[in-house]
Amino acid sequence: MHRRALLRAGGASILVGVSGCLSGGETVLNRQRYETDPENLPYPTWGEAVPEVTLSDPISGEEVRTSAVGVPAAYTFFFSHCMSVCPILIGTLRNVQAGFAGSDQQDMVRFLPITFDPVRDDGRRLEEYADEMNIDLDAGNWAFLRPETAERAETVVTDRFGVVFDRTEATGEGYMFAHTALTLLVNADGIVERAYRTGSPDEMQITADMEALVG
Amino acid sequence: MRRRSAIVAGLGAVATLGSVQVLRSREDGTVNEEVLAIDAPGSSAGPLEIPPVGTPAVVDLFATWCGPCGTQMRALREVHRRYGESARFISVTNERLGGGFEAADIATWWREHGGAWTVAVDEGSDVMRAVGATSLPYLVGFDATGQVRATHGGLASTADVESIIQTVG
Repeated sequence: MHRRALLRAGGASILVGVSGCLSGGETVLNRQRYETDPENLPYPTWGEAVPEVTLSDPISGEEVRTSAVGVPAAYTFFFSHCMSVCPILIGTLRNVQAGFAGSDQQDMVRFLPITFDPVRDDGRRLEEYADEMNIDLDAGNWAFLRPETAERAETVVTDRFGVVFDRTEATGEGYMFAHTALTLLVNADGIVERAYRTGSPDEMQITADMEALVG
Repeated sequence: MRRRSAIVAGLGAVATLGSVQVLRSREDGTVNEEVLAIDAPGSSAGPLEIPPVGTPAVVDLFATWCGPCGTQMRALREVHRRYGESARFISVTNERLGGGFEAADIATWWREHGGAWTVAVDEGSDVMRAVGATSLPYLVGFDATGQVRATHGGLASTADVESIIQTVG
């Protein structure tokens, strides 16, 4: 099946854009090119509006509406008990955050990872996780977003953002999820600029893209 | 965008006990990156080439947030104790300094886990990208010419690390 082959290809399915033109002021970065029609991809792609959802940060209590963040934002999808792909995704965003630390752009970007394991990822757990991952919550630009229930997690993460996760049988370390990997970069107007479809996104590329969005 | 996909790409959700991948072709991998060693037990601050020149080397890609990386230090310590004279050991984290996380935090982790060889920072994850590592921990064995000869993704045992040493030595 075409879609299966595409998803199996992972990060290789995305090529760097080269067109060099703006699109009616909606996007800042060049068009991102894909190996297939973006309409057939399950996740939002260049030029599309970010899926509009409102989620809360269980640490601060802040409600975040994705369409009204107001500054360039990076999203990824994770669960904190994950021991393989998610720490790399979160660690990458953490490294990007560290790159902005102390700069005058620090307050002009946001990092908004969305958990798909709300049962375990409550505020206390996510605060511990932030500490483990050396995330600077005090910087004010990082918020973990948590759907209230497992059902809403599927609605938001899979149905809206196209990230599929599948709970596995519990082992000695509890249940895990097999899942696809996606990091999204969205501009201040809520338009998707980049979809990094890899389990090990390039932090320097994300940093450069975010800097370009900040302007 | 289609609103729903039923496909799970099968990205590993569980840290796995991998196996050592022995690479036989000289064309399998050439890496040439610079990292920054820090002051820590067995390690002196300064720039460092990966791979080092003229010696077999085991490069351990790790992060302080990575539980299995800490667990794996026991195997690395044991093999380093036995083979540290014949192969260079270098541990490299891709954690960028800043935002309240500094070299001293890495040194503290290093001390707590009994590290006794060079430990370095790879800001930008250049080494990870160069060797194709997509998870941590990840071991790379370089022969004395700097060619990648063996890799291991996931938690490695003492036998796994020994196997890498024997491949590159």
